[in-house]
Formats: sequence, structure tokens, C-alpha cells
Amino acid sequence: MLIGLTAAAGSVAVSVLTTRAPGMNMRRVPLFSWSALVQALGLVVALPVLAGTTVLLWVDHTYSRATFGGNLGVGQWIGFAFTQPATFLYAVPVAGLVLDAAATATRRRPAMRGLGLIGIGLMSTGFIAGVAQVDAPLPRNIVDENFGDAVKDILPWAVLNLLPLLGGVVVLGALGAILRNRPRVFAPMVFGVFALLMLLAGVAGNVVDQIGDAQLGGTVFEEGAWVYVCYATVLAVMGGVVYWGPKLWGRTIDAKKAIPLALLGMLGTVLASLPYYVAGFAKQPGGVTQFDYDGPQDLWNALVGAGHALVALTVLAFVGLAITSFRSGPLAGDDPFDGQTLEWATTSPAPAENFVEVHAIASAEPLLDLKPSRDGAGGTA
Amino acid sequence: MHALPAAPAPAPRRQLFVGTAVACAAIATLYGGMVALFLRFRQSTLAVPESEWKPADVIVPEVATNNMLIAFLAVFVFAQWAVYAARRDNRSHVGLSLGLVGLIAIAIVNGQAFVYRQMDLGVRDGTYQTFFYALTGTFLVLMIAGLVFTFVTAFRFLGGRTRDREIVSAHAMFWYFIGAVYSILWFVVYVTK
Repeated sequence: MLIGLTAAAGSVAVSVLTTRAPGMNMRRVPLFSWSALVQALGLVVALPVLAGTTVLLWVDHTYSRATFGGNLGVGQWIGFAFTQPATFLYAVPVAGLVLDAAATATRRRPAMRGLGLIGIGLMSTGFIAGVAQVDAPLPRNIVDENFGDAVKDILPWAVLNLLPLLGGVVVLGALGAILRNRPRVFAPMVFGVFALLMLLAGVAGNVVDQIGDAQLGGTVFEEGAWVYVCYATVLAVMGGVVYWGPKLWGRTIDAKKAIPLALLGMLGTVLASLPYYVAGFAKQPGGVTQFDYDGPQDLWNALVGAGHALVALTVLAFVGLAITSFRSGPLAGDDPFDGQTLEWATTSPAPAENFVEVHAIASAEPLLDLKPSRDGAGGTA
Repeated sequence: MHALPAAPAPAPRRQLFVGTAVACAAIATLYGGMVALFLRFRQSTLAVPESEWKPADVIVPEVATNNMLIAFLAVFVFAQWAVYAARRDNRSHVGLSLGLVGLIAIAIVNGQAFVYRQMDLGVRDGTYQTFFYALTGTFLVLMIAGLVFTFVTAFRFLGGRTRDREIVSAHAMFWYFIGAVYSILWFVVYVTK
């Protein structure tokens, strides 16, 4: 599985690096494609580290050694790949989706596009945790350390935990700059915005979780942050299906049915995560529901359970909506959303060769070069 | 459908070369992670007084391991010769050089098998042994991948696709990289022990 995932990531990276249209330099690559490239390169270097450790664990386990602590010790050696900040890498395309969808919603060239590129890049710095096999928490009583030791502790914590948060904030800023152009209500953008907000909540929670003095280690707070990131990715996947599904299958999903699902998904995500932030500060240990606490511990756990159930129902409802829409929904047409990027310059679904001739592009929004803009500047009908 | 202007002829994509570079990056972190764990366990074992990491009665056949390292120099030369010959459409030299790359690679694999036999380690015998077989076994897998790459390169080029020189360059880059991997293995496992 690891080899397959790494190969898939390598394929994505090579595709973005080598199969761009003439004139499409790296600054003109669509923001989602940029996020896919960043994620793919991060996975190409992070997943093999997990594979190598897995090989060692397998040899050790097969030949009855206990060098790595046997079955109970496995998590200590490969847990880095399944916990934050390494898992942020899987959520990087959330940023690309929301920026692309927001730009389409405004029908204008996205302002401060470079900021989005930078923010997406910063968000991927969690791959360092996957490569170095660490999570770099900030130790307790750091204020009592001398300056040199404090810097040695703060620096890795900041690189692995603060940089992804900074990247998310930069992406949020870029999104804000785009949305100043009065966007229409656009279902993929709604999914994307909710996904980005949930992702930021998870990343910010991870920053707090890694501060030793907060004493949240081993509590359900970490689970809450992790669920925020996971469900943010789920919301983004749904948004991506709504956005690009018409190009693949030639039929659209009704926005009036999709947007309520986005709201439900966001509500479910908050319910599944936020109560554990509260319970974490109440020192509820991970993996237990009853602990020494005078407050409403059952309430937090019940809310979390309800949140997970709500997300599950939302996903099921979305899958049903997508299947019925793509089989018998309204026909999409070539450019159902008045898009800006090259994929909307071919039929829906696209023909086998996509484009008979490879077109040259002169900007990051090649279709806007041909369409009249809302402010009348540039483009022809 | 919108009518964008037709493009000039696109530049060569170099997908295979870039893909090979990406694969080399993945191999770098794969092996780097394993070597890092080897060194970590070695350090923690040696930190305990009077403990041993490599059993004292295990002798590393350094002549064989050194010869394997030197053999990689020949692999580099012949792989680069293949690139030189491919640029000049010299099929016979391409075939000869790729054949020599394959032959020496097989000799290196044989050398590793000789090392296994000489050291006669049991994989269950200890932590060092487990790591030794994991690291050298992964290296052997990479060598086999390189041999497959050599075979495919030779098959394609000698089969008539003489305009496809990119694969010969990618092939050379891959062998340079495997050589770098073995250099690390040689230093960490066979020299530092």
C-alpha cells in the first residue's frame, strides 16, 4: 500500500511538473494543481520513511525479535506517520480547492494569487515530521530553560507546528482577498470554506496540544484536533466532487441540495471535535469516557458521538446525491460554472485525448483571457 | 467550446527523467530513515558499558565490500558511456555498455551474497543482525530494480527506439543514485560497524 501511495504521489508530481500546457509556468499552474504538487512531493519523501521503518519492524517481528517492543511497541515507531503534524500533508489540497472555487465564484482573476501559492507551500511543512519521524512538542517549563536550550526546543516545535498554521492563515488571507469581489453562492466554495475553517481549527488545536505546559498530552484534545483535520479533508473531497464531477460525468449536482449537506458536514465536524477540546482541558484521557471529573463528562462524549454520526449520515447522503445526480441530473455543458482554468475549455465529459491541439496560455486564468470580465477590463467575448 | 490559439510544438516532456528523479528522492528517504534507525540503536547500545553492537566474532569481509564499492565506479562509467553512445546513435556501443552495466551489477549482487555467506549471521541472533539483513536486503531490492531498468533500457533502445534517449539518461541517473546508496551502506554498516 505504501509503495502504491508513493507511486501515485510520484505520478501526480511528475504530471504537474512535465505535462503543463505551453506558456504555463509554475506561477500559472492552477492553485489546486499546485496544492496537489506540493502534497505529492511531500508524500514522496515522507511515505518511504514509513515504509523503511515498516520493513525493519516486519523483519524484527517475523524473526521473533523484540528490538522494537513487539506488538505493543509498533505505535511508538510508526505513530509519527499517523499523527499530526505529519497528517497535515493529506489536507493540503483543501487550500487549493477553496482558492480555485472561490476564484470561480467571483468570476474574476484571484487577487494576491502568489499569497495562495506561498500559503499552500507553508501548510505542507508538516512533511518534515514524517521524514524526521518526530512531532517536536514544546517541553514543560520552557521559561525556566537557558536561552540556548530554549531555542533548541522552540525551533523544531515552531517549524513543525507553527509553520502549517501560518500557511493556513496566509491561505485564509488570500481567500479573503478573493472574496472581496462579491462572490456568488457556489456550492464547491461553500464546502471549501467550511473545510478550510475546520482545518485551521485542527491545526491551531495541534499547536496548543504540543505545548507541554498546557498539559494536554495523552488527553482527548489531540483526538479532537485530529478529527478536525480528517473531517476537513472529507468536506473538501465532497466539494471537489461537486466542482469537478460535472467535468467527469457530464451532469451537475443541484446546489440547493449540496449546500445543506455542506452545512450538516460542518456542524457534524464541530460536534465531533470541539467537545473534545473542552474535555481535553478537563484532562479526559484518550481512549476512556469515564474519568475523575465533576463536570458533564457524558455530555462531551455524547456530543462527539452525535457529531461522528452526523458526518457519517452526511457522507452517505452526499454519496447518494452524487450517484443520482451523475446518472440522471441536469446536463452540465462544457463550462457549467463559468470557470477560469483549462479543464473548462473542453467538453463534459472530456474526450479521450482532452485537447486535439495543446493550447498555449498567457495567464493563470486562460479562459478569462477570452471572456469579458465583470469590470470590463480585458478579454473578448 | 472556447477557441484558444494553437501552440508551437511543445518541448520534450522528460517525464521519465523527472519520474526517475522523484523515485530517487523517495529511495533517499527510504534508506535514510532505515540508516537513521540503525545509527540510533547502535548509539543507544554502545552507550551501555560493556555492551556490544556487532558481535565480536563476526568478521566483515572488507575486501568484498570494498570491491563492490569500486565496482560501482565501473557501473557509473559504463552507464554514462551508454548516454554518450545514445546521443550519437551508436546502437552497438549502447548495447555493449548496457550489457556491461548489467554484468557488473550482477557481480555486485554476487558480492553481497558472498558477504552473507562469509559473515554467516543468523537473522534471529540479535538486533545488529536484524538491522544488517534489513539494510542489505533493501539494497539488494534496489539492485534488482536497477537490473530491471537496465534490461528495459537495453530492450527499448536496441529494439529500435533510438530516438528515445531520455531513458538512457534516466537509467544512468538511477545507477548513480544506487551507487550513492551503497556508499552510505558501505560506510555505516561495513566501516563504522
